[in-house]
Amino acid sequence: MSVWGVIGDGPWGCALAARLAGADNDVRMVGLGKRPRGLPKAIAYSRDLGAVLDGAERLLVALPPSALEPALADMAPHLQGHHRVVTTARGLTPATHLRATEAFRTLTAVRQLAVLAGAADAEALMAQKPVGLVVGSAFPSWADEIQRSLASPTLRLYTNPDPIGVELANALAAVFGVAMGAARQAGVGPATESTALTRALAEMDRLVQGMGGRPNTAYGLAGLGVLGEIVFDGGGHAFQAGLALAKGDLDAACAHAEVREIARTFAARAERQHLRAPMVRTVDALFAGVLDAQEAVGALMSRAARPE
Amino acid sequence: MNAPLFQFNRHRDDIEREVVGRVVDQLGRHAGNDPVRSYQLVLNDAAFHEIHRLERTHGREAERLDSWQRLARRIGRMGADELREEVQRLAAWYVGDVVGHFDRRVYRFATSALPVGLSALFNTTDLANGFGALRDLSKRIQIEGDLDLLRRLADEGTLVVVPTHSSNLDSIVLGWSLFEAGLPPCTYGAGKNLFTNKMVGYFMRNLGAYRVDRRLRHVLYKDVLKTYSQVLLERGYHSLFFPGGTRSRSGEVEQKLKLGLLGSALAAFSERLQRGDTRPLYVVPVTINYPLVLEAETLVEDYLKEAGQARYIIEDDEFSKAARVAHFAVKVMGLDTSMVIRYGAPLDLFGNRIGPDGCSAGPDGTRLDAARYLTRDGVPVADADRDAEYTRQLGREVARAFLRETVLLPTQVVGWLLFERERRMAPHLDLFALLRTTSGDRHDMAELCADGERLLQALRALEDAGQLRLAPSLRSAPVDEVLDEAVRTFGMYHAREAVERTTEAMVVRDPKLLFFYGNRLAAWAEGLREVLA
Repeated sequence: MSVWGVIGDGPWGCALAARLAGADNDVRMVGLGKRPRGLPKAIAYSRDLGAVLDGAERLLVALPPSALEPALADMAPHLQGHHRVVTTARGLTPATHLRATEAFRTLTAVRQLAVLAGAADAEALMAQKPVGLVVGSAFPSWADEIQRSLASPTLRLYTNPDPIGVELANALAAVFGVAMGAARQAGVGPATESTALTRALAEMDRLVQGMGGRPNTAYGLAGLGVLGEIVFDGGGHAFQAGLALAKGDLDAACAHAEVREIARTFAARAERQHLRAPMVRTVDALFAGVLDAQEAVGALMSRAARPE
Repeated sequence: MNAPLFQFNRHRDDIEREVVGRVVDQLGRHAGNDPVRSYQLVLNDAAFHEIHRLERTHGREAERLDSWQRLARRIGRMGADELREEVQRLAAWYVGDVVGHFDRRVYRFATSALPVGLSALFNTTDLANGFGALRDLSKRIQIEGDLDLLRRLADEGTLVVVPTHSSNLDSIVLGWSLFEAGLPPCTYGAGKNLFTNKMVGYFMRNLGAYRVDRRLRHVLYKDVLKTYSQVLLERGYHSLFFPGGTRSRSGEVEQKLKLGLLGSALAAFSERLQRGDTRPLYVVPVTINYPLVLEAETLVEDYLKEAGQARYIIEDDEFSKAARVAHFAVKVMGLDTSMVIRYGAPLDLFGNRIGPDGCSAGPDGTRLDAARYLTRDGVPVADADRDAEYTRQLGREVARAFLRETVLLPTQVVGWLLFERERRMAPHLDLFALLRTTSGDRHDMAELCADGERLLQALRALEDAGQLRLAPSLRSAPVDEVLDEAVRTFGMYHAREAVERTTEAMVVRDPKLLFFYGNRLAAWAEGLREVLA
């Protein structure tokens, strides 16, 4: 039996903790409030971060990017080289625009890092529906251990040696999901939606590589997989935000705060790194109210001609 | 001073035996658990590479072609014992060729004679005043960094010194700086071609350098080298290696590092832990910053000729000509600008900073136990993939340290400024066209000073942000003086002047040299270009 610490008691933390406990692991969850309802009894719950970190070297960190940096300040004094971390955070930190594993690398002593991503939501995981996820890590033995610990007949886990690409693609898919929602609402038609989809993937691939990931990771489960889910489902935050933006309902769009924040932080990071990101910048401008949908389509269509 | 190298000769035979034994065992597992097949593969690989090489070689070495050809014909008929004996024989031969030597008398002589010798080249009046000469060399070569901490770390553990590499003089000036800073001598691998200079070879051979023959590409030889360096580290010998692999041809600060010997350091640490030896290894990034580079002309020619696919070994450069080295030394000693050897903050093998207490420290200052990076559930676990990734991460940390600890000098800044202005004036020209056509271009002094002022402000901001370091004159002197200092320095040594100053303009004379020296700023060029735009 392996000891796992789960940091974060939101839906993702609870769903994954339940999966770990179901695979006969000793799971110790840390949260800020009361024990979540429905959390399996086998999972210990506490508010004592230090005790959990001191007792578990395998850590699943299910915190949003906005909560990450303050949490890492609390975690750092308890983290040593033997700790291994897998994160589920989707997006970049608000002020410094770091990926979650980048924040861990910068602010703590942990080196063995992994990221869990893919086209599945916490509800499906908790309900034991069949889903697939990908573990990105440059440490093969850690990725294998996560795979062994979580995989089950209803959870198919793949490994990928490009954690940066997996992490970026997983978050960028949400931004491009907004664009796809906006295109649907604008009624541009299937042909133009297809064009938008291919351009979105090309931009995702370019940004992933520009920010340190590998070619083609964008076309895997974390990128194309997640974007496909957003478009096929049509009910998720990203797509709904896109629909609202195309209607000009900024308040409704900004209610999807996580998606808005991903667009903002990626636009800022792309600018800082001098990376070409027309769709990401357009989505950010839509959220900021700088452009409306018609202007956005016009701006994207009138760019200089390029080879594919 | 904890200087294991002083006792090297006493342990030399034992070290050789250990290396040969380990190499033979390791290579026996080269193709899984089948020693016969493993040794056959290793010997075939060695024979193939050596025959290929020797067929293109003339002179005494070519005489060995015959024996390799005979071996190649025999391998398939050799039994298990014979194969092992042959691998052992070759391993012992190569170890004998590689292994260094340390003569304390030579060390004492070299460390006392080098400053006097170099200073005497500069100013004969100093011959009458040995101490004066020593002081003078200290002025010409500045040593910076937290040397107190490094001296303490050298007593508590093993230093792995990793410098940038611009010139074949690096190991000489760095060796002197270790002595001057009160740090112990380091063993290091030096290209066999450097030993052909008899005098330099004599000193290197007796000061702990071991010989690396870069022409040998086969697995057996590479394993001998890797194992030898690892055994030395395991035994606590402070070591030095150039992670850039070879001298920077373009003049840039190296960012693509070879990780082999950093990997050996981690393997040595792991091996020590398994023996219960918890002494740490400390990685010390060092930047060697020359206002003038002895081999600048050859290096940049080589970079351009091969369009980045540089010759790995250059045997006919300025370093091979004793008179040229002496000429260079005289000129460098006469410069206004000092060369700077900057010892960066030490790191552990996982890229963590080392605190004042000699322990690894996390970014928040948490004291770390480096051994725990190699454990799983409290037990040390061998994991080659994990260690390879640790080493890649350490390599990136060293590359970042190289940038942070680079000390920019006026020749480099002015080289970049002038070449960048040329790029802006002719944005449609590629690098080679620029280098061909810009000799004789005039840069109006008023415009140049305005651009120079903006550039200096940007560089000072980068220094304030901890991204690089500047020579004192770049920190405070007016741009006009910086330009003058660079022109004077360029004019001191190179056969063809890089740039000429008239009353109203600077005239480009050798764009290749400006390109070479300016490339030291390449890592920051994108941001700096915006400042000039």
